[in-house]
Amino acid sequence: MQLTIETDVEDDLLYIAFSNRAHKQGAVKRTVRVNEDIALDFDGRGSLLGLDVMNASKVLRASIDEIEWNALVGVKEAAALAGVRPSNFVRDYAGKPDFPAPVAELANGRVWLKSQVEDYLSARRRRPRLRAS
Amino acid sequence: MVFIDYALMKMHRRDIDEHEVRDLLGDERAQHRHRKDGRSEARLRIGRRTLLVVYRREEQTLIVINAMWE
Repeated sequence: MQLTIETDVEDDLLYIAFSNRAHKQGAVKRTVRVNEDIALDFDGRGSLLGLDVMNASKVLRASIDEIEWNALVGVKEAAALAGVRPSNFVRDYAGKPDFPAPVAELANGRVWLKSQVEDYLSARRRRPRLRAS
Repeated sequence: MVFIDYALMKMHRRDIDEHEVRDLLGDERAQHRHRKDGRSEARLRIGRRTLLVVYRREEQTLIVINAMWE
């Protein structure tokens, strides 16, 4: 999954696209307003394509040009961080009970905070390996 | 009337043409309301859908901030 963040600092606007498909003309088939400042874009199959936030500083309680974005990663990106194939990542990492919980489970799959995945991988590499006797 | 890039990108993916926004803002049937943030919203039913445009006024110019189908 490729996340894209678009901002307009002057007008305090923020858009998070959850898929490259969100950028295509007419990709959004339905927009649902959560409130005056927040709207969700969906494709024709009901998958979430994007999150549109007006007055982002008020909604996020931080100025959008000062936010340190903690990147989100999907299975493919997390597998690359671990240096394994996505299918092996799900089996050997994401399926473990001590692996960080995903921040969201979208139609496109699970997403985690990149920093949490990196911390987990770092701790796992430091862990002594058990040897069969 | 000026469209900021952010609005143009949203209109592109939501399949909203510039002329639809221009027509709405020039249509006396459109319903306008002031937002808490000082901007304004205009709504107009077009066919089976309602187009919503968020804009602000800068002297004599209307700046289009966002647009979406409701």
